[in-house]
Amino acid sequence: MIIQIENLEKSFSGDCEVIRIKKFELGHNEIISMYGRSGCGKTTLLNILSGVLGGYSGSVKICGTEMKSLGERDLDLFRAKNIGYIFQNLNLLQGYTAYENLELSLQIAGVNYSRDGIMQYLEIAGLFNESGKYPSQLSLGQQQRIAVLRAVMKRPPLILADEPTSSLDSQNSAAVVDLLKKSAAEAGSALITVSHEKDVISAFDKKLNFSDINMSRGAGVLDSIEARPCLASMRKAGDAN
Amino acid sequence: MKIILKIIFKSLRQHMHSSALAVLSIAVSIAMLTAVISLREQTQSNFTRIGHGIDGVLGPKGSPLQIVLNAVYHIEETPGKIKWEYYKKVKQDPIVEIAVPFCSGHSYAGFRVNAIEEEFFSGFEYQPGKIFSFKESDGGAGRVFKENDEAVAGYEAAKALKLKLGSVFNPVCGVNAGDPVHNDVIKITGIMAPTGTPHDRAIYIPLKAFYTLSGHGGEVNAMALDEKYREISGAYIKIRRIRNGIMHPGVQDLKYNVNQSQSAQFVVPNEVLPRLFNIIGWIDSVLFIIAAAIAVMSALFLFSTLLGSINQRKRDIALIRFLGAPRRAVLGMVIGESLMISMAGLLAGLAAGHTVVYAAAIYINCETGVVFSASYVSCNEFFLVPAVISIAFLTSLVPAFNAYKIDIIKGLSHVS
Repeated sequence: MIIQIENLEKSFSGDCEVIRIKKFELGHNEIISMYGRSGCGKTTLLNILSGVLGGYSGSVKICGTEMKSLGERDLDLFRAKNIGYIFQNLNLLQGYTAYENLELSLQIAGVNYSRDGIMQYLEIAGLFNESGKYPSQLSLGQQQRIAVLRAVMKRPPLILADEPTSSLDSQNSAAVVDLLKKSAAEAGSALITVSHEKDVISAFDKKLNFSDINMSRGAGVLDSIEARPCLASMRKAGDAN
Repeated sequence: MKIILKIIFKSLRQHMHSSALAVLSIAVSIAMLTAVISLREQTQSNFTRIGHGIDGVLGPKGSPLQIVLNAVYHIEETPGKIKWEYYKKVKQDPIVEIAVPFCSGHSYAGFRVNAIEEEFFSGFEYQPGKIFSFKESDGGAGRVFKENDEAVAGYEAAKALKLKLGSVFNPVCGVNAGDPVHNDVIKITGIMAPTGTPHDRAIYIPLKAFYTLSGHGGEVNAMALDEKYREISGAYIKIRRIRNGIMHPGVQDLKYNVNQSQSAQFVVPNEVLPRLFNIIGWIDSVLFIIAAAIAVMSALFLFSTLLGSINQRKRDIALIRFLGAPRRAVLGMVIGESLMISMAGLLAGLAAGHTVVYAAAIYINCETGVVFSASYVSCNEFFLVPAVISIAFLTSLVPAFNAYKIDIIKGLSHVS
């Protein structure tokens, strides 16, 4: 198994529970899309899986490694080697060219690479001629394809994509999803793509409604906002002002 | 390490303008410190320790400083004259090895024309073991003067006035613009090889020629014939050595006796000039304080540059952390950036400082004939390296700690 979650609970500000997952598993090469309402805890789950968010109870294992058991330095190394992440908001390093963004990621992860190898990936993504361009010189679609390459090039066992197409038009969105699926399959990685876009969700064979695994009452999976203690109390506070 | 260096260079390039300004401000302070240190040390070495082969100057009563500047550096007027007979008396003192009489007060095209005895060229050592040379292999030419209408030119004077063997000139009776010109035509018979001393910037004629120059009048002309009436501006005195270059201790008695007399005074350049530098020493102290103040300002500027850069790059740093770089790497990145800016400033400052010394050396050489070296490296310059590294390190601590504690999730959502 790539992901094994048991009795995961995560709360913010003391009693504001966002995630309660009894059991969730994802195997090798499994590719799924995950959907759910905004604020229901999808990004929180991805943050926990990527090891940047702690303070939860329960067990989260990635590739058999209990994330809690790792110290910060080991967690950094583990994330670099085992997890590829695609952000919603195009987090590319602005002072680095497309090529350098990819190269730095591989260098930090300590993965062997060659210039030709990176250029081949760029060619696959249709960005061969853009290798020397800075993010500001690329379109949003091109930037997101670079972000996808950055996540998959080190061939990690797990790729997490958080709303990877939210800022793209439908044509670019399809291209990015296609690249993501193909690259993950080619690298043999497990993939979770979180999205709220129907086209993206339907592009995947396996779809998972986040509310099917998240039992938290505080998350946005319930129909009525009044039933969500955190948001309801926040709204009341806002009305009072 | 290679990755950290790469990230540092990228960051410096991203913040090229503020980084360049930080480098510039450090370079300015280092340049000032380097130039002040170098010029101060070379000034003291050249003006106070060497004395250019002259142990003492026998001169008229008056300002000792004026006598030294006139006799040694050719940049003042003589305060008076001394009697030839008194000079002869001093010359006969057993501890006096050489006493070369001279008459100053003439010039040509801004360069002093001093009348001096031939012994100056044959027996006077301007540095231990070195006498004036006219050999072409040394950079000189021709020979020493023999007749009253002949002269030799110091290397720098000849170069500046384009004097060659056979060139002729009319000496000016005085050292100021508008002073009368003698009708006598003097021919250059020798160019002195460079010595790196003020002697390079003078023209020398025979001592007797001074008294026979037309226009000096019968009283002065008579001095050439009768030593009883003869007067001179002064004499360069070389004292005997007892051993290992140590001056004969009797010099103190000689000095005392001469100074007690009404006829002359015995001035030791190496005693007079340090007093001058003590008086004007505040100038380099002020320059040093200004340089130190600029150094403090540049450290503060570096601090604010780094701090601003970290604030702007919160998202980049969080991303680099997310990609797997440990906190320690981020810490090293900021400290390394500070060190690189500082070292670039240090190197640029050292280069600029020595360039300033080079320019000053040209000016000082033109004015005094003393040779300063742009490549002179003071021991104090070596202290600049650890000082700059320490300041760079201390300056980067707060920004580095700010970068160290950046939270990945908050950093990634940071809008710069």
